[in-house]
Amino acid sequence: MLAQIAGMWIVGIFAPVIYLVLAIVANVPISRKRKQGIQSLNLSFTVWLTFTVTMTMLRFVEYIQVINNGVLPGSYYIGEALSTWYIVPMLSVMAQLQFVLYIMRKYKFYSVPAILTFFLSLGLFQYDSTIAYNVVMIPLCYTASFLFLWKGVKNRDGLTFSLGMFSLFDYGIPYFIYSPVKYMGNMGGAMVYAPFLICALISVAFLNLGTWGWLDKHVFYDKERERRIKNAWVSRLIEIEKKKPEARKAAGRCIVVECPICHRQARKQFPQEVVLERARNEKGIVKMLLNQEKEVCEHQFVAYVDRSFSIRGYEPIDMMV
Amino acid sequence: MEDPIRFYTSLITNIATLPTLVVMLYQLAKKYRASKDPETGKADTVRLLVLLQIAFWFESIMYPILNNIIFQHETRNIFQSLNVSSLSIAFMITTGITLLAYVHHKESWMFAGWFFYGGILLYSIFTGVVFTFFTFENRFMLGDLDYSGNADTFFALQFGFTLVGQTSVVLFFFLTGRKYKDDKIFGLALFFLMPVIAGMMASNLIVYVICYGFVAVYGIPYAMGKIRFFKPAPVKLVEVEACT
Repeated sequence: MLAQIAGMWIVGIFAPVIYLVLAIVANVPISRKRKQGIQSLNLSFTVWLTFTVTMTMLRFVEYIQVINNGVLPGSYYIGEALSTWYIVPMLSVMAQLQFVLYIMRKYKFYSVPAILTFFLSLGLFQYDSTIAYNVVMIPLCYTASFLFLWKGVKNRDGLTFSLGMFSLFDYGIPYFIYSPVKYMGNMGGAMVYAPFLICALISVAFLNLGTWGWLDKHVFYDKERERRIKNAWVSRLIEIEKKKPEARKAAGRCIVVECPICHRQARKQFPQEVVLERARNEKGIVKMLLNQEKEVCEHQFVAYVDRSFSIRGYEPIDMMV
Repeated sequence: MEDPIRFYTSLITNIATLPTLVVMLYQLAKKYRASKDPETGKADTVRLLVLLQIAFWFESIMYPILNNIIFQHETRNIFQSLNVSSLSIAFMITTGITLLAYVHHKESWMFAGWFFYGGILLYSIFTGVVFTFFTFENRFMLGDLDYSGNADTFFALQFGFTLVGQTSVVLFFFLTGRKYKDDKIFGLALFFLMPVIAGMMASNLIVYVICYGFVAVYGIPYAMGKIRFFKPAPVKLVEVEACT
């Protein structure tokens, strides 16, 4: 009896509270950066995280109810099969997809998550079948996670990688554990929902590692570059910089530029050494007149590019005389 | 044939709009070709989208006319089956959204419109809706689920898309035409307002005949560019002092 009460406390109180606290802590460095106004992405991150955490907390309520009572109350259902049991994970996965699309600047596809949610909800409302729901949701869930992971590894960015791990553990992996046990093994009882709680805690722990910079410091650091910096004087550093293959320098960096008027996007290649030469110090910014040949759209504009080749802002040109 | 008066009146009214639509298509195509810039080779996209909308409208009129003449019964409405006519109307609306997206420089609206339209098609295919093409009927089924009777409910959605979508597009055409003082877009809004009114009051034959009669009369001068809603802005001559 005592063990059962203790179990209920652990599952029902501690897991959600720890999850919530860790999620708030993960958001602290991002909020600080947002206040400093470093990047507009930080605000979207906070909005997305708040939404996802709310959805996960709602799922917790349902899992805990199932674990403690054995069944989910029938009053949650709307229409044939539409219930919070499906709506909440669906919104969570769609928010992930929306965030991935936002990060990858695929603005053409911004409406896709909303349209998919609409049709999947309509299907669940009309028919007592979850075939379409599963067929769409499972690949989407893993796709969003793997895109984050791939981008994180490719750019050696701990935050993006941690977002991938967060997405994967928040819903993807527990679903992978739960489904075979529930449907193929036809066993497990209400406790098959426990992996969802445990994996959610792991996911938010990973998120903290990313937002607080632990992954950047200990996993995604360049050992070779650090060794060279440690053992070199300033003149030697310049020499190292010069020794880099010429072909790599000449190829330049590819940046996605976006017209500030019509928001059309295009990839442009900039000669790396020219930008580095113009922006001499760390905070240097280069002003570039873009789209002179009108290859992106009909407008011309100025882009402000920093040394790391990120675009800090645009300014449209009213008139060329 | 349940109601011969209704059947023949709607058939004759639809046929009466055909010559207008053919002339409109010819005129619009001619103007579109003429709008091609000899230097860049680019043609006016707004004209192309207007032409496409009229072409889809023509297609949506042709199907019920042929169907009614060949089979001597009224075309089943969109609550019963998905047919070429309803698909064309949906295409027409989505092309209208594309036109608005182009004018307002909001490319994402266009994608949203086409994705939604694609969603409707996929949903209809996977939920067992009957697709009709004259005598050919097909129904796609998934699993052992009994979908019979549910198709009617689905068409509330398509009805919502076609009627609500068309009304919104017409409203936005009016607003956009007024904003940019564009006769083409404002005139198109007036053109498509008539089918919307006719659709809303489909049970009233007199309204139906008046609306389609207006389309038959108004279409040709509109396509020839004879109808002007906005006065062209007077050209201001500004003296520019030479820079010293």
